Amino acid sequence: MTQVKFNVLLAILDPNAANTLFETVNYFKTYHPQIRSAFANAASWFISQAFIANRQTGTHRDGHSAPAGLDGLLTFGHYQGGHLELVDKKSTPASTVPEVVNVSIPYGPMTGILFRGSLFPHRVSPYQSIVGKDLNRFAMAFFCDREVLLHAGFNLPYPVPREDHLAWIAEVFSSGMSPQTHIVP
Amino acid sequence: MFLKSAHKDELTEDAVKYAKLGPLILEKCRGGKTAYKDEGVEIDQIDSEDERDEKQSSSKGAKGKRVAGVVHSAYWCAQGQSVRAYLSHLLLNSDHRYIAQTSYGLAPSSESRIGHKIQSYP
Repeated sequence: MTQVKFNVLLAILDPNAANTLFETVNYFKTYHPQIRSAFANAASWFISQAFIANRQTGTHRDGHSAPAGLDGLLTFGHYQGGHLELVDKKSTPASTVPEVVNVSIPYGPMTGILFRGSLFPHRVSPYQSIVGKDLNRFAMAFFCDREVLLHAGFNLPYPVPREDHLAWIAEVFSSGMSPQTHIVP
Repeated sequence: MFLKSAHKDELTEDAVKYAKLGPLILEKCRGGKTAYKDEGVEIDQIDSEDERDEKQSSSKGAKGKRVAGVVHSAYWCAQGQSVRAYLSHLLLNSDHRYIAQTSYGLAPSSESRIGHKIQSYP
């Protein structure tokens, strides 16, 4: 269900990106029968995914993501702290010019975030486990992978057009249409 | 455990199988020497690199901190293995520090297939 919710959120926030990912999944299902079964039970339109266990991620940008795409983040576990920080990272070495934290977003357990991970340098601040084991923070990342889109023959232009997106959302989610319904036999 | 209970209903037969394989894969990642091959999972490349994490490095391995050490990466692909099953088995093996990724063509041998990569951190 989580993956479906990210599909819905993406469709609301950026219908063009959602449509592109939707069509990309359909492309793989249609023209790559050798991996079709890999998507049989996958509800997500984000083909590239990552699972991060017990790691405080340092400053980075998601270099494989399309600049105009939105990447999803979801946290689990029992911990406190661990904010998502968007930083202003200078081009000079970090040792001489410190990073400036521009935004610090509460990023506790069961937080879902969609943002442009390839554009904004980001990191996770220190966190502390509050229950049981020391190792108790997990995150899932759903990437709008540029290479995957290009391989499927799609591109994601920037800026993102928003015309007719309400109609598209209504068409997808009112009709019950989903990637699963478009599996080619 | 929270994660186990939250995802119990989503586990598939494949997920249960890979839940058993998960620890073995991670151990092989840490060993960084031998390939692992069993039940549809064949690690086709293992890399190791020394990672130093700037000022956050700590020899004490503190909670939630990035630590310096050797990072092992393993790549593999498996036809027919669902993305959800793959992620579900990882949820069951949470006593490690790692990043696992799955994407089209990610592994060296995964042309036209879904590839997986797992990086194990100290």
